[in-house]
Amino acid sequence: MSFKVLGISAFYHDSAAAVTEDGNIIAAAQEERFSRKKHDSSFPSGAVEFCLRYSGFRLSELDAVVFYDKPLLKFERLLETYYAFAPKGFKSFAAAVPVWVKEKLFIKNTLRKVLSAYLAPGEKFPEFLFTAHHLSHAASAFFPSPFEKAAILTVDGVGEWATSSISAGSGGNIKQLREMSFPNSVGLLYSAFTYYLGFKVNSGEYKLMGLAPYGNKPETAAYERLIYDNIVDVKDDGSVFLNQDYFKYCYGLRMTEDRKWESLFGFGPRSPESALEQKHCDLALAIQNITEDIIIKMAKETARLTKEENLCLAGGVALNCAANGKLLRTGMFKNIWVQPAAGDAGGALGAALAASYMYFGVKRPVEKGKDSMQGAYLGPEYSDIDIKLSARRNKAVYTFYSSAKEVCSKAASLIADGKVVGWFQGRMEWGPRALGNRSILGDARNPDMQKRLNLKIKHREGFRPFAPAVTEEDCAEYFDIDGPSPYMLFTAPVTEKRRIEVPQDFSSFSVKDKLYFRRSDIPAVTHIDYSARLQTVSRSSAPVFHALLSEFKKITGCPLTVNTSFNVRGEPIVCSPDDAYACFMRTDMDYLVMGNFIFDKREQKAGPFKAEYKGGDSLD
Amino acid sequence: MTDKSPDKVRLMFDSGALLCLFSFFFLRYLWLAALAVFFIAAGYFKCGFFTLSAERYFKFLEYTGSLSNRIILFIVFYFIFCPLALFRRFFFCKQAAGFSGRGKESLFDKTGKADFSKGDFKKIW
Repeated sequence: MSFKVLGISAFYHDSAAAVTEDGNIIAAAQEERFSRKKHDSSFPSGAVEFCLRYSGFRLSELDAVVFYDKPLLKFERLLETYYAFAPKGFKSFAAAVPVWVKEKLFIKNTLRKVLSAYLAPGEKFPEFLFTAHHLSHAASAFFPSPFEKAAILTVDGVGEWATSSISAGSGGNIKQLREMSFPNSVGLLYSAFTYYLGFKVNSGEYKLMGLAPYGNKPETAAYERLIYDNIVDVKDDGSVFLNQDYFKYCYGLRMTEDRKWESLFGFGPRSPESALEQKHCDLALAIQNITEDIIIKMAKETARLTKEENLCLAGGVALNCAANGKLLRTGMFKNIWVQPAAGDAGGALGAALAASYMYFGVKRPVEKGKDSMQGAYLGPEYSDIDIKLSARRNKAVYTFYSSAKEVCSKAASLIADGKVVGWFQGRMEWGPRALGNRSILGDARNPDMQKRLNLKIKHREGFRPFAPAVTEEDCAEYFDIDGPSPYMLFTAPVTEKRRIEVPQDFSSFSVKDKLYFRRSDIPAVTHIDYSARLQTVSRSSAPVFHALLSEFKKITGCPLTVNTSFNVRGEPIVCSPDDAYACFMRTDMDYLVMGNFIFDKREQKAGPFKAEYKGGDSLD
Repeated sequence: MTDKSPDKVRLMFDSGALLCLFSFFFLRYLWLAALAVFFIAAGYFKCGFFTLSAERYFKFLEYTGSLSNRIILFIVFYFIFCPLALFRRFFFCKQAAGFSGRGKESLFDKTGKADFSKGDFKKIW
């Protein structure tokens, strides 16, 4: 008998669904890709529908539907928080309580109501199960990992009560050893700085991470001291105590007590979209350094408690690839594996896997050295016929190639010519990173590529770095990293021989001058601190993308390209051929490659697309 | 395509009719019953003035709805929640761990969840 399980995460941010059979991941996707609303938190109807359609399971055939957290515990935390801060907190109370009473508190009823659409008359609901939020994260990190036994560290904003947890995984079981509770949270600390520096909470954290390397060391050290002395007390084991006098997230609708922060740092909160000054970069670097310090201390405690040589990471903070890279380089653990959808979306997968192994008792097979994520290509895919129909609907002009080899060779020559290519192949990626199936590609050697991609194509801030995708076998030529990084979750330094030294007075340069200073022979993907958030591409998990990079190497001698997600600012990554074509037409991309079809921008009719573009108006 | 949105004009007049009938039940003024009949009949007529009035009427209801919602929440928060919270804080209840962790050597707690049982998965707490 096989056990079929549907995992759901919803109602907070990044809702998603995942379906497994006997612990094998069949399909997983985030709702935002279907609803086209970035970080969509509503019930993932589109994702559920896709999971059921792709797996071929009827809802009534499933053994369980698993929700990724425990709503009553979360409600208890909410009430306890109001108790702790009353009479403060009415605004937050008035905003939160009606939603809880209407929807979240009666989660079983809500699930029944929305899922009834997938049942035929006479069919019964499967069993409803619930996993704790951090167990979902831990399960999403450990069960698909290539380890029989491992230590598990989960760090995020907040689940029910827990904000971080340390667990030990073995076979099909997870034992939770330690837990840190709300309001002390590394994720919320980082989000508070995200807000203060003018980015959107639960969305702009990676911008803060990208901004940090522009900071200057002496000023940063002063900010770090202020933060350690006033805001956060970091214990030896990595647990933290946050001085609530400086925060408002417990009882207000904002993250920080702005006046106190202003008197501490000497400047007020940065308004979104206003000019970035050196002080903003310095503060970003300070909190990034502190976060790295905390993560390394937590990992040390995890190693001490579990005595394991493998570590699995999940939770929103595990998307901080700079911290992950630093942790990897400490050598504290022999191997580190991070769930590609480490944030709340990954909870859907974790919930389904936790139920499969820990509730139904499915035996967990482990293939040494290979995880079970299938390259994180778990979303929908579209056939040549689908693409052709989409092209017809959009009155698009294309050239069809009979083989993938021909397409790769043509696309590689276009990238080598300095063109920007939209690349749409196979199944959509799971998680926030585009890994070569829904990507925009460009030549990393081109010094103007970063500026062009940021400002003309992605319509986003100029300071934001781009990631390289490099063939696994050539990685060591360009980057100092031990082992593969298939999910873009580690940064690694560009090798010394490829670097261009910066002048002595580099720290006195303005942010803009720093940004456009060429730092290596692959400038478009070398961040200001010589780091790169790389993706290693293996022939086995991404054969077509690997073939493209190999063709590019044949032409240019360089086995890597810029790989950025196929979307524009404020919009989710494209899902369908229609989404891809619309995004292609609304930006300055030169070519679009979908399956074996190549679309040349010069041959297309502009149609309604230019006028419809609204991506640049909203922050992501 | 059929329009499934409720007929706001009829709803407005029906609510008026209901109010009149309710008042008639207690006050026994015949003109109230007549007014109720008039309202029910008026609900079937469509004209710009009625539509506009209905729009305004529903906006007013929305406003009073959100206001009453806020008033109820205000009463619950300040008259029930706050006294309870202060009572708990001052007299006997200790706060949840995270709120009173200053000075501790570690904020990590040993969890009681070393082993997850099947029953854990069935609970929403």
